[in-house]
Amino acid sequence: MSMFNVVVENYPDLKANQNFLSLQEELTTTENKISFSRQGYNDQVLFFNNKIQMFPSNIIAGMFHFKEEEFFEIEDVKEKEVPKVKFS
Amino acid sequence: MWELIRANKRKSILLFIFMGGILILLGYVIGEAYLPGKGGYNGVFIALIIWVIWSMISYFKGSSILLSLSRAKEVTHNIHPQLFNVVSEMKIAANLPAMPKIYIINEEAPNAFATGRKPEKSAIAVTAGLLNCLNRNELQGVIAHEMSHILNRDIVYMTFAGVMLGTVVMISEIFLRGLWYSGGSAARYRSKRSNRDGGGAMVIIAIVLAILAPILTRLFYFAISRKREYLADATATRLTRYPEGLASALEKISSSNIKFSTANNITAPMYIVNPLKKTERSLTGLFSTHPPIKERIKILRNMSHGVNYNNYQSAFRMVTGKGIIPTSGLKDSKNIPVKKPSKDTSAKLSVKEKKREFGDLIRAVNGFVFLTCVCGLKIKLPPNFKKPEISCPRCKRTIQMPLAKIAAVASAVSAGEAIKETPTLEPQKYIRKGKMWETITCSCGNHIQISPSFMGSKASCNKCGRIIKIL
Repeated sequence: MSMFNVVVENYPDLKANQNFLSLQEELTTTENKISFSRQGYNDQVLFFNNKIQMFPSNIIAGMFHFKEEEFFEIEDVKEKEVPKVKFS
Repeated sequence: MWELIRANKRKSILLFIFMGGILILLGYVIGEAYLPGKGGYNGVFIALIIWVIWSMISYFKGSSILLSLSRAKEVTHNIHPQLFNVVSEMKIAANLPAMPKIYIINEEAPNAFATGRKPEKSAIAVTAGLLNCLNRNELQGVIAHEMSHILNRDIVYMTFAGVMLGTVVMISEIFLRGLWYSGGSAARYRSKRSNRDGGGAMVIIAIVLAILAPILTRLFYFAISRKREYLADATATRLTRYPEGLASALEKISSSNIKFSTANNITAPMYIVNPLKKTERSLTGLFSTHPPIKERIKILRNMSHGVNYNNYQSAFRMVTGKGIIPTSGLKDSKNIPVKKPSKDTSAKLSVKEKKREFGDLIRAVNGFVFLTCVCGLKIKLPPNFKKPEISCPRCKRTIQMPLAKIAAVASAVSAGEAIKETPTLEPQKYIRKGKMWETITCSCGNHIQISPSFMGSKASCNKCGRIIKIL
């Protein structure tokens, strides 16, 4: 999943520029931070759900009515669209 | 990952019972050899006292000692943004409670280690050479490996185990040397006092134990250390979802033959790859702190189906024929696919440019201040620079030196703190009178000239760094 499409056709020199590289770095890290937050959340949910199902923790979970959590998934198609960063 | 932490805790208790048993036995037998009848308990007491004091020191001061031994300097976002970003990404993925401190080591050999007694107070140190030779995805793999050591609580356990090993070695060493130099005084001392039978046998048992115990504990310690490295690899791929990053990073690190100058036997097990590699063959044995690197790479490259622990286990089995992860860690059966790598944002540089970048990084870490002249020349000012102005070596323009900034950076570096971003000064405002050359005075007393072609909205004072808004 690549979230930011960077378009730089009009400025061929731009790609080598130091400032451009740091912008690219910031975009990449923002993208990664979003996907790693989702991943971290889903990992926790997976761990929690496993705990609820497995012995011996399932006894406690049954006693206190712990419910399985849902994974984070994007349902809206529009939200899945990649934001564009344009230089023109 | 969290399943592994609990499995690790259980295993570590076993390790401590075993190693502690050896320590107590050693103390008892040596004590008994000196003072039969009542010396045994004194021996145990002394051994435990040494162990407790040593543990306390390494628990509370261990990471700062380690960091200063390897001459690591703390850095922030402004010195190496990519490193900082990668660490914060991995912090998010691992759900760590706090951001680890980041250190750079002045060293050209590529390597990295993690330290800290708990996840809230952890630190990750990488060498400048590592940053120089890896791309973004590889760096992410290495950081994820170090983060896994923090996450799996490897550091605390390895510290305590290392201290226990050290205590066993020290006590046996003192005993054997004492025996050697005093010409068996223990035996003589004992034989004068009592003529109980079994006393002489005790001395022999003590000698045998003093020779065997360090070897046994060392074997045990190294076996645990190697296992932890594999587990950290497994957790790292789970965090990044991209095994190839770590694999190619390990390949690059192992293919480098630059000598690591600040590593020694004590700090060696902490690093991602053994910094004291002599020959690859001698390291595959029982006495190595790290698993053979080729094997680690092969396992990672076999993980094309997914990145959960089951995948690592089957890849490990394929390469070595054994299992590595305890069954309690294999409960997550949900398949996690391998992710696509993220875009590489490192600049494509020639060898010469890389050398220059490496030098600049080391300078920045050590408190150099960079200044760019109008002609484009980059001037690097050392922390002890005192002259108020110099003329540019290329264009002979007189340049004011940012002395306040140099002093601030130098004091931060000498105090061992991270270099903060330049202190933000209150911005000034200036309203232009017309479209000609104008001279404005910054509140630090410096004169700044604005040319007729000046179109921007702000100028920065080259002496104090204050930003002046031009309206």
